[in-house]
Amino acid sequence: MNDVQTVGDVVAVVLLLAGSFLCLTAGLGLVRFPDVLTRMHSGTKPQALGVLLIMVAGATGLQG
Amino acid sequence: MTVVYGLAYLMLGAGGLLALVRLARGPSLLDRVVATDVLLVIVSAGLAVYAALARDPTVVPVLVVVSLLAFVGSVSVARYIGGMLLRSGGDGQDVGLPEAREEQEARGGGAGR
Repeated sequence: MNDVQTVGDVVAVVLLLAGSFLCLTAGLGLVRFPDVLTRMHSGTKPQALGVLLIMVAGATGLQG
Repeated sequence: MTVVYGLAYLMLGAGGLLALVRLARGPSLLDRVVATDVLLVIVSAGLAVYAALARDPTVVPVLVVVSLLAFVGSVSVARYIGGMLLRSGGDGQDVGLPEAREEQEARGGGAGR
């Protein structure tokens, strides 16, 4: 398995972990919020940013 | 690299399990639609994590298919609920659509939050 070698790999790993954490907060808000509209709020916005970060990490990781 | 795999899949799996909890418990149809959307996006995020960490671009078409499935599912259920709203006389709560938390508290005469 290849290891973290360049600066791009470090950036990719950090973006990946941040995006995964945002997906976790989306699930957490989906369980804890009281109402459909607040659940929709918590299910869409951290989710979109998290998937965006993971896709950017994939782009920087697949480049090298 | 294994630590990064473990951390990323731990967080994604916890988020997916919480979305499954909401999918099972959700009192109305819209809760389940939102939970399904979140679950499918978490699945596609897991595929993207694999593609990024293993440097393997063969799962990218699968990613496109999962994203299209989530989009078409949400839009079709939203159109179904739009038809329910057109057929109901009031604001949709007579056909089983949910009401907001503030409306519940106002109707129940609660003391606010």
